[in-house]
Amino acid sequence: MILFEKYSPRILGYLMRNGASRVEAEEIVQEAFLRVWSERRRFRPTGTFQAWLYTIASHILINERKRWSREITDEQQMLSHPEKSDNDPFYRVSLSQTVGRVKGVLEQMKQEYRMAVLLAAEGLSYQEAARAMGLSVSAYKTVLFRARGLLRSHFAEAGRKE
Amino acid sequence: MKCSSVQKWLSAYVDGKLDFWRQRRVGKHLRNCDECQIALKREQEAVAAVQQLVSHNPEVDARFRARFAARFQELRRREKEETRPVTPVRRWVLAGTLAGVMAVCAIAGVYIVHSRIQPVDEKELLLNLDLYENLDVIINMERMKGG
Ligand SMILES: [Zn+2]
Repeated sequence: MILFEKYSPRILGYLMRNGASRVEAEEIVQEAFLRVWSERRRFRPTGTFQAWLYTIASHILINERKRWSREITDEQQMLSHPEKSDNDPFYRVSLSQTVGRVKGVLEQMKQEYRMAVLLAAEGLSYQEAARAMGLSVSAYKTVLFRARGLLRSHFAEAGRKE
Repeated sequence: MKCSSVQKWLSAYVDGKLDFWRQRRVGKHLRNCDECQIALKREQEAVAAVQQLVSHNPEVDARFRARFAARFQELRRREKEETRPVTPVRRWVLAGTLAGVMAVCAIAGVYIVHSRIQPVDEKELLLNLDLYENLDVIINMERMKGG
């Protein structure tokens, strides 16, 4: 399977779950794959390709999002889906009440916490996720455990309200 | 072990990332504590829900593929332009440079083997990404199918 075909929907989803709009996410995915190509000689088989790709995409999202948003032209905005991730149609497709609830809780969290939780859920190891966020493993664990603590209490709270 | 400690380690416990002894102590506490049991159940429910959330991903459409293909081809074209042809005059300079580069590579090679970094296997990567050279063909075929 072609790498782009295989990974672009997942990275696109990952970025949108992290608060990027569809347009932003598409730009970042493309940029990430172009960087993969340009930096292919730096790829180390000791890590997985997936982890490398998430690292590049996360780096762009964290560090360059503002610049990216500015560079997305009005034309692209019109050509593409103008919706924010909130009302992107792909999320409306049969999200169960439970999943909708957890999505709501994650959206309330600060970016660092949300990203820590999502990277682990995407199947990255603590080491890989730490690298993707530019943190030490122990710093990542601190962030992740705090985030998950918050997640489980707010998730249960939101469940009681339903 | 106190409840607060157990709940602090709960995520690592669920992920199976605690060391053997801590995993055992947390497990033992959980069997005897209703409050922490409830926290464990919540943690498992929340994790399962996040797992489900990340399994929903958007579809990638032809427009997006085509834009990427165009940008990728542009990058490849620029890369090819950067490798300029060799003129007779530059041949000696190049030979000297090459000898230097080879010496550096030999040293780097020893260093790489020494530090046990695997040499880069980019075959799969190249193969996969190279398929994008033919992507316009695929997209055109899809367009024809769609009318
Ligand atoms: Zn307890």
